[in-house]
Amino acid sequence: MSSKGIIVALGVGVVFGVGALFGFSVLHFPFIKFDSEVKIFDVLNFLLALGLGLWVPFIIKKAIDDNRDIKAYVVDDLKALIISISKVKDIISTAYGVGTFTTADRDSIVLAFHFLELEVSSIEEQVKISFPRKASALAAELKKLLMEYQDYLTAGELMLSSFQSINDRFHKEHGTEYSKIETGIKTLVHKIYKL
Amino acid sequence: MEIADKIIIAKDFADNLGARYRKDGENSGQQFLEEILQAKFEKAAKGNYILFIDLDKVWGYPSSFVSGSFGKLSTTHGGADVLLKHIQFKSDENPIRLEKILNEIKNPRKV
Repeated sequence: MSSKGIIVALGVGVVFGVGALFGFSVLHFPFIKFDSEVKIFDVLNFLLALGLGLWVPFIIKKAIDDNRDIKAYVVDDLKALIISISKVKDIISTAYGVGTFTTADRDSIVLAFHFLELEVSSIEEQVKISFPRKASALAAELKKLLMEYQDYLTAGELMLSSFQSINDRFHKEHGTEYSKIETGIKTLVHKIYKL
Repeated sequence: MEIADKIIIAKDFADNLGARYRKDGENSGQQFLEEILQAKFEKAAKGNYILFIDLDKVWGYPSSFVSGSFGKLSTTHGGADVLLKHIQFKSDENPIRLEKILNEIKNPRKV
């Protein structure tokens, strides 16, 4: 038999095979039988699946929203802290501009740190509630930043009664120290968003 | 051990604290140490009782004042263990203030 004859024979075989299969399927249709009886367990099972399907996404969405709100709340406090710290910078900048640093300026800086400590303490308490596992590290980082800036200003020459003007060197050094605490707090904001 | 003596810094010394040394200006840490703190602490240690120190009602605690008073006392009188055995602090206004002073007593800066 030629190759053309073989192809024709195979074609005829395939046509007959498909036809037989189709005929068998029609005769035995439907393969899936529907049970007209409904068991109470099946109904409860269906309702439970439906309830879970609606409840789980709701709970997950609420958890995500709550977490985002808590983070935003703490971040807002950190932003407010930066503004409060900038008031210390303003005292230094003003005294630099005027050319004199007074006892009142010194007292204002000491008092400003008292209020900054209270703000940091408040943030620490919130972090303990909101992020208990990370609270210790976050609070320690924030307090370290504040204490380093506070030490720079209240453990050195600025506290001496003979310190009566801010020269270019001090102004520049202070700018660097202020930048450290500002950048440090902004970095903390990113860390909180990544929690 | 019971509390047998107390210092209210705002009342017994000043509410606006100064720098480290007397030569640095008024209300220095050295002045507080020499005029009040050291004598009261030594009595407490000798009499084996607790000296109560109230930190409230003060405008703020400059780091140099803390170093010149509590830090210096820690360096000259046996360190944190001895000091904290005979001194009890109170700071209802500001917990970080207390933390800062305790830290200075435990790790007094070298000046």
